[in-house]
Amino acid sequence: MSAGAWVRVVTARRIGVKGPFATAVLGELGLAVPERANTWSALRGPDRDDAGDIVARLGNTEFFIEEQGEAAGVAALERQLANDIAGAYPVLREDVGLLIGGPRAADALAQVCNVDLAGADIANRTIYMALMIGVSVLALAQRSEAGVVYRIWCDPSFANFLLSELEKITHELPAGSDR
Amino acid sequence: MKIIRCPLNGPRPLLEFVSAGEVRAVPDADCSDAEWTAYLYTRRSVPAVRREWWCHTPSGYWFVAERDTASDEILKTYDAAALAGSDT
Amino acid sequence: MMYRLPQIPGEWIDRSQPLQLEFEGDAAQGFAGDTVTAVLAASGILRLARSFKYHRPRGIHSFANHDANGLFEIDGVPNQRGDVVAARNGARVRAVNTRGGVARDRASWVEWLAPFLPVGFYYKAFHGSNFASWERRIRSFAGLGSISADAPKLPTPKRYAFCDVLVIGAGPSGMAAALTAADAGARVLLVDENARLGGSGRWSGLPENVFADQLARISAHEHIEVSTTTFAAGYYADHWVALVEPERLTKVRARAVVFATGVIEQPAIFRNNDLPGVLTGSAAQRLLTRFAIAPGRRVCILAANREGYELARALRDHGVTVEAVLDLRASNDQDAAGLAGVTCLTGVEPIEAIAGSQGAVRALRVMTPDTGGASRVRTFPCDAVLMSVGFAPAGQLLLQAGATLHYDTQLGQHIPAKLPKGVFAAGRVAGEYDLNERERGGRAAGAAAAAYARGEPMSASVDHPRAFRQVSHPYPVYPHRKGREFVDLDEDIQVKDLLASVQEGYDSLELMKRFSTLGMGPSQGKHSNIPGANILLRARGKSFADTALTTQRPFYHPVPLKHLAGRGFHLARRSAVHDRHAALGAHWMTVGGWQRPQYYARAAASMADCIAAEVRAVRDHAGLIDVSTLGKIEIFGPDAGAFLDRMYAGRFSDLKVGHTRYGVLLDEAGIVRDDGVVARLGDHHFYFTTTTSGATAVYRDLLLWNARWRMDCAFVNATGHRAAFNFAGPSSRAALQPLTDIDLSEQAFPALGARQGLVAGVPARVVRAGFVSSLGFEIHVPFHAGATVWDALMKSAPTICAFGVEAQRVLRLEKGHPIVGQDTDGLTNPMEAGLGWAVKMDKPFFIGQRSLRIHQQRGARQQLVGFVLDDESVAVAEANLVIDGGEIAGRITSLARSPTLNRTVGFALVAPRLAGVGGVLAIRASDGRQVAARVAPTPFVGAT
Repeated sequence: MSAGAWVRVVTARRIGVKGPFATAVLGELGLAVPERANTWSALRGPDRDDAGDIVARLGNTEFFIEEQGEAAGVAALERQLANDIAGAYPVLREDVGLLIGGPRAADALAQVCNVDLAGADIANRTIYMALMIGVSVLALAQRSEAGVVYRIWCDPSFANFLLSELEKITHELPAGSDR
Repeated sequence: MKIIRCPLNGPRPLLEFVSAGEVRAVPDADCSDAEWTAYLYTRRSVPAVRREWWCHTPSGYWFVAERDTASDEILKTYDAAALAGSDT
Repeated sequence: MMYRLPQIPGEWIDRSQPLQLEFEGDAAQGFAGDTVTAVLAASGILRLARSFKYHRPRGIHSFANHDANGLFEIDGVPNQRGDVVAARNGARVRAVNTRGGVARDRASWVEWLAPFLPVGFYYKAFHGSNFASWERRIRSFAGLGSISADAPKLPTPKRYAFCDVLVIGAGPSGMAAALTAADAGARVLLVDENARLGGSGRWSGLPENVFADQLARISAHEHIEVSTTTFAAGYYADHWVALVEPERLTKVRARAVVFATGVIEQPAIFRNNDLPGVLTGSAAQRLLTRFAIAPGRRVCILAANREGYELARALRDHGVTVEAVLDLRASNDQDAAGLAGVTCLTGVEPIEAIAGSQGAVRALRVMTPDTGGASRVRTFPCDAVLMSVGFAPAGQLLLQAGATLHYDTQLGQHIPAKLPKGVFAAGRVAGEYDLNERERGGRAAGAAAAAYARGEPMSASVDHPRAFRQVSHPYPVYPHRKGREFVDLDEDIQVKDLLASVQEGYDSLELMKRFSTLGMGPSQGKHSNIPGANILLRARGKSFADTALTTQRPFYHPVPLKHLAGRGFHLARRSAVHDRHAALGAHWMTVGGWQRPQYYARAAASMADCIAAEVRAVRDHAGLIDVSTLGKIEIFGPDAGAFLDRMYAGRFSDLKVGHTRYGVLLDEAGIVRDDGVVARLGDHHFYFTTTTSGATAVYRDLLLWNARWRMDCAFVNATGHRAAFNFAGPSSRAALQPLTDIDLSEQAFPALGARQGLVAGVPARVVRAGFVSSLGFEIHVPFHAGATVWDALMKSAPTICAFGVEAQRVLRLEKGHPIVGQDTDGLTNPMEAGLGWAVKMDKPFFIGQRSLRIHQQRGARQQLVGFVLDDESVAVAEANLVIDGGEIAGRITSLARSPTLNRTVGFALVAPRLAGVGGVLAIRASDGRQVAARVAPTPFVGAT
C-alpha cells in the first residue's frame, strides 16, 4: 500500500556555533551566513531552495549546520572552534534529523504540531523553532523534485519517541488528499 | 488557546510559552527584611497593564509582554534589551 | 404514523441502495443516505427511547441531534446520535435507557412514583450515611447506555488546522459568507453539522435547485475547504475552535470566525408535549426535505410564526392531511401562506396531547376563543403535533467568544449586540430570517471577516436589519393542573419543578439549573434553557429584557471521549544506551521524563537482592551507571565565572581550569532548589550538571536571569546531546586506564579534577565523582558514541556490574550525600540541609543571599541528620514521622538497608534540638509503633 506520507532518518554531520562573533567565524571559513533570524541558506555554493547542506540562523547569534557526505565544512568549523575563540562558541549538535515527505506530509505534521507547517514560508526559507508533541524541534519546509518535504531536527533523546509516533501516523494516512 | 506574538518567532500558541510573572526590580541588598519579604511573597493582583516575562520554550528566548490582566489581552511584546536597566 | 413519501427532488437518500436495520428485534427498512433515526421513522417506529427519569416513551423531537431522544446503542457502541449517524446495513440498534427494550420497558412503573420524587429529592433524601448505597442503586438504574470494558482502544487522530476565515454553519448566510470571504482572497473553512450544505434554506418552500449555483461555486472554489458532518464544539481564545468530526477532532485556528449557526427551534410547553409524535416543525422539515418522510398522515400544527404555515403548505403539497393550524397568536398568516381550505384558528391555548396506542399521540386538545369572549375546548384527532412557536439562537459559541446578546422584543429572540474582535454573526442567529436578509447578512459578515483576517480594523457596530418580524412567541407555556408539561425532556423536568425551585429559593438561573438539573442532560439545555429561564423570569415578575443569557462552558455538544483522548502520546526520553539496558534486563522507571533502569533483574532474585548485589559490586569492584539524564549545561564567555557566582551559592570565578566544585542553586527565598558539579574547562568555559528533574527549569532560569543581567556569556543545554556514565568503585581506575589517554593516577588526576581526553577512542570529558563511591569517574561523551563507550567500559574488567537508580540511592546514602528534592523540601535552606559549606556569604551577590541572611538570623527550623536504626524488628519507611514530646518533630527523608554495613541507615529532617550526634529519634512507624533510631555521623561508609 502506498502511504500518503513517509518519514526517514537523515544521516549527516551537524554542529552549532553561537556567540557575537559566530557570523565572523562562518564567514572566514567561506560558509554562508543567513541574513535574517530564523532563516536558512545553502551551506555553500549556489543558494538553492532544495539545498541539502544548510546553515540555519537560530535567533540572531546562533547557527546550526548540517552537512552530508564528507562534511568538510563541519569539520573545518569544529577545528576552528576548538581554538577557544572569544565570542564564537561550539554547540554540540547530536540532533536526529528527520525527513518527511509524500502528498500528505503536511497532514501528518498537523497531527503533531500546533504551528502551521503546511503554510510554512518556503520562499523566505524560514526555519521554525516549535513544539511537536511536547518535543522542541527545528523545522523547515523545502521544495524537492517530489514536492514539498519537511526537515525536522530534535534532541536525540527524544528521537525514538518522535520518530515512532510519526511513523505510526504516516503509516495510517492513506494516499490521496485529505478530503 | 491564546496566541502570543514572540518578538523572535512570531505568533505562536500559548503551549509554546511559559511565564515568569511580572517584571519587577530586585530590591537592594540593604533593604529591610520587611521590604525583602514583600518582594518575595507579595504580587500585585489589581487588574492593570503589566509587563511580564515570557519565554518561548523551543527557542529558549525570554522577552517582555505587556498584558492587560483584566482583559487578558497582550498589547505588545519586545526584546528584554528594551528594558534598558529598568530592572535587574 | 410516519411514513416514506415518493421521491422528492433534492432528497439525501439513494433509493437504489436499500438497507435494513434491526431495532430491538424488529426489522426497519431504509436507504443509503438515511440516518439511523430516519430509517426508524420511515418504518413507522415512533418509540425510540425511554426518558431518563420516568421511563416515558419518547420519539423524534428535534431530529437535529439536539435532543437526547435519539441516543442509541449501535452494534454495541453506546450513545450513538441516531439523528445524524449514517445507517449501516445490518446494524443492530437498541435504546439506551430501558429494561427489556423500548416497547416493554419494565422500568416504566417509575413514573407512578413521580409524586414522591419532587425536584431536589436527591439532595434532600440522600445525604448522610445512606448516600453511598442509594447512589449505587440510582446509578445502576438511571445511566444512559453501558460501556464495554473490552472495547478496543482506537487511536483517534487529533489534528491542528489553520484558516483565515472559519464559517460555522452552511445555510444560506454561511454559504454567502464563505463565498464572499473566499472571493476576497481569504482561505475559508466552511463547516456544518449536517451531511450536506444548505441548512434550513429550502424550508420556506424554495425549489430544490435554488442553491445549485452557490453549491457549485463553493465546491469549485480553490479557497474554500468544506467539512460536513462536523460540529463546532467550543470556542477558545484567539479564534481557536474545536471541530468534531465522526472520527476526528480538529483544533482550527482562524483569523476570523463567522457564526452562521442558525437557531434551535423551541418547544411549546403543555401537558404531554413529550409524546412520540409531538415534534418541532423544523424536525418535520428535516424529515420531509432530506429524507422524504412524512411526520404523520394527519397532523396538527401549533404555530406562532410564518414558518408554521410554510410547513403546513409543504406537508399538504406532499399529500399529508393538515388537520388544523392552531395559532397561539391573535392573528395568523393563512392567506400569506396560501392555505385556503385548511382549518386555521387563532388565539389557541393547548391543553394537552392525548396518547393512543403505543403511547404515541392520537389527538390534541386545545382551548379556542369562542364568541363573546368565551372559550371552548376542542379536540383534534391527529397522529402528529408539530410545534412551530419560536426559536432560540444557536449562540453559545458566540457567548464563549465573548459576544453579548440582547433580547429583541420585536423578534422575540436574543441577538448579538456586541461582538469581540474578529467575530462576526449572520443569518438567523443574528435575527435575519428571510432568505434575502440571510444572504445579505452572510455577504456582509464574509466581507468583514476577510478584511479583518487581512489585518484591517473591525468596525465597532453590528449592523442589523431593524425590520424584524416576530418569529418567537414570548411565552408559549401552558401549565396543567395534572402536570407532565415537560420543559426539559432529558431530565423529565416539568413546569412545577421549576416553580418549586423558585419557591425553595433557587431563583437565579444558575441556582435553578443546579437544583432542578435543568439543561444538564445530553442536550445541554438546547430546548430547555430558554423556556426554563422564561418560566423563572415570569415567576419573578421579570423578563428577558433585563436578564443576560448565561454562557455555558465548552463543549456545546457532547464529544466522544475517544476524540479527546486522541492517540495518547506519552513523552519518553531515552538515553544513548537504552537498548543496552534492555539487554541487561533493566526494570524501568520514569524519572524526569526519562526511562531509566531502576535495577537490573537477575534470575531468581528479588528486587531487593538485585539492588543489594549491585551495591556490593560497586563497593567491592566497580559498577557503571548511566547518568545521561543529568542536566548538562555549558557556559562560555568572559563573564561565565561571574555569572555562576551570581547564580549559584558557591564561588566559581576562582575555580582553576581542570577542577570541579560542588554547586548548590537556591531560589530567591534561599531554599535549595538544585545542585550539581561545576567543572572549569577553560578560562571562559564552564560545564556543569543539574539534577535530572531540574535540568529544563534550571537552564530556562539561567537564560531568564541573564536576560535581566545581560552579562557577556552564552549558554548551551547539552543535556540530550551528551551521554554520561559514572564508573565507580575501587577498581574503576585500573579498569578505565587502559581505555584512555588521560593519566588517571591520583597525582595527575586527583579528586575534584576534570580532564578532557579520549575514552575508547571517543572525545570525552571526565570528572572525578564521589557521589556513590570515593573513587569514581563521570565520563561525558557525545550521544552518538554513547554505546561505544558503554560497551568498552562494561568489558574493561570481568567484574564490571551495571547498576540502576535504586542502587545509586543506597550507595549515595551510605556516602552521606543528600538528594535535593528528596532529602530537602520546599522549606529547606542549605544550612539546614548540611550544605552550608557550599555557600559563600561573603560574595557581593548571589540568588538567595538576601534571604539567607534572614534565615541565619532566625536560626534553623530543621536539620538534616543521618541516623541508624538499631531495632530492625519494626518496619520503618520513608516519610514516617519523628515524634518528640508528643509532637511531630521531623520525618524520615531517605531510608535504606545498607548491604555494606548490614544495617538500616537513613536521613531525617528533624527539629534542631534533636540533631546532636548520638541523640535518639523516636520514629512512629506506619503501623503506629514507636521505634528508636540514633543520630549518626555521615558518611556512614568511609573510604571505599
